[in-house]
Amino acid sequence: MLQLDEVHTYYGDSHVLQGVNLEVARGSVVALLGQNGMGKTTTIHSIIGFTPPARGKIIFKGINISGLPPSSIALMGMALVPQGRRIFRSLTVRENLILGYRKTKTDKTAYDLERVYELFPSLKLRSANRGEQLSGGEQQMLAIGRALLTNPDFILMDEPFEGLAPGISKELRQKVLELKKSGMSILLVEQNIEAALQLADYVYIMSKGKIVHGGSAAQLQGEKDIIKRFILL
Amino acid sequence: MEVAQFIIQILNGLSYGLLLFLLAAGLSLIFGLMGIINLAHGSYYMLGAYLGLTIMKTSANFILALVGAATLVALLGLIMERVFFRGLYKQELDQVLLTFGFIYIFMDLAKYLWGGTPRSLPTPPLLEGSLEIFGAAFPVYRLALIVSGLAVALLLRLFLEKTRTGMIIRAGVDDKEMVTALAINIKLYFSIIFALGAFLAAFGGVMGGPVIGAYPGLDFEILVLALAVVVVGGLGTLRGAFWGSILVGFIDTFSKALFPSFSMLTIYIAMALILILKPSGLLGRMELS
Repeated sequence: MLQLDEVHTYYGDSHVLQGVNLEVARGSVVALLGQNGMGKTTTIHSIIGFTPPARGKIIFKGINISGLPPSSIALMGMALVPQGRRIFRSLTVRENLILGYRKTKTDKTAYDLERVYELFPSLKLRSANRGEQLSGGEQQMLAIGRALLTNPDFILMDEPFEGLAPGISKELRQKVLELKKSGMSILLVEQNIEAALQLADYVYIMSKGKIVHGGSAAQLQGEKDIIKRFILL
Repeated sequence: MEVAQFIIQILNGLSYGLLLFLLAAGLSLIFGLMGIINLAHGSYYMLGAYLGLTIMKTSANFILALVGAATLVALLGLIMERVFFRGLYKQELDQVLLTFGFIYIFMDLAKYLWGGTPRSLPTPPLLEGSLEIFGAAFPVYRLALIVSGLAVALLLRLFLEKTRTGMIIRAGVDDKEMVTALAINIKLYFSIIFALGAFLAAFGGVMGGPVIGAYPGLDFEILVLALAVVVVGGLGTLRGAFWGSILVGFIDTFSKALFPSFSMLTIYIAMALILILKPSGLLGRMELS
């Protein structure tokens, strides 16, 4: 589905990604684990095209998308659930959802407004409210619903449980698990080891702009101490 | 001030404010969506007035002058956006220099084509004459200005609230990068809003023509007022542009009537007060950085 090959990205003069290699197989959930400032979000931004890489290849569905504008990349079936949720605050919940709606699939796995409302009933209740009036948890549901309505094959999720109350966080993890079961491919950025191991098939650990370790979730389950050390690198 | 005089001044302020709104709406939305302060926006107004004058002279049709001049200037705005602004997003200093340069180009062009003497657009015959309000005369044309300004405000609001294009523009003001991640080509909407802004400014130039006329320096004068409007009302929202325009229209009209020698100063005082008390403007969502 997605493959990064020696990706280097700069923010001005600062060399943030220093040769990132990673892979997300079709239908799998891959977690990218690491502390703040290690390049996780820059990796996400490089993939969606917000910060195009200076060097390296990003292969999505067999095509090198490195350097394409975000709108073209999204059109190929990629969606983003961004860090900080980035809800359109002056738009209503409904408008947020239908803004990017694309009917690319015709089978019953396709998402439409009704199906997203079924997945997140509280969004239906709030459909006429403006984005800025929602709670953090509702905003996160909206960010996920907004991404699903583009009917993507692949979703980038950047710390979707950040700053949420434990209850709502647990509920959302369950929703992401359901997505995984439905066969969605996901690259999940996390700081929380438990969440990463619970949801992902494969986990990469990122430090100082590089992937420093990687393994299947089952394999890493017994290596939590090692992971913690890697993360602190 | 007598009651009749007071009411006349209110109507004057309203008509002037709504004229300013035609300018400020575009200026504010262009900034909100694209992050560009287009200093040549006042030039669109002036060119609209001059072009309207020429079309009116050759066709004697006010509606044709209005639509024709606005369309020509919209085309000019579209070309400027496509050719000159595309490469300058997020480069504020370069934008200021570029649009400042355009002011001089358009100013000289206008002097070359229409000369340096102040011109005035004829009032359409249907709207000549005046009404009596509490014993004082009020020109019918100014009433028409108020009505058309309100109509444009309403149409703009419907466009932004009810159409898909309007929804994308509002979302773009909130977070344009995120809009692109939804597979929407935001640059198309940059062009639309730029052309629309230029259209409205030129529309205002023609509408204001029978009252304000067309003369060298009009571009600067109206630009300063439109900038005052966006500072007072706040950037990026139609509501801010609307109420800011009405307020600046009133301040300008009343201060000219009450203390003529300080009229421009009162607008600056209002701007300074608002910048101190509420830097994002009365109804704005973003701060001037």
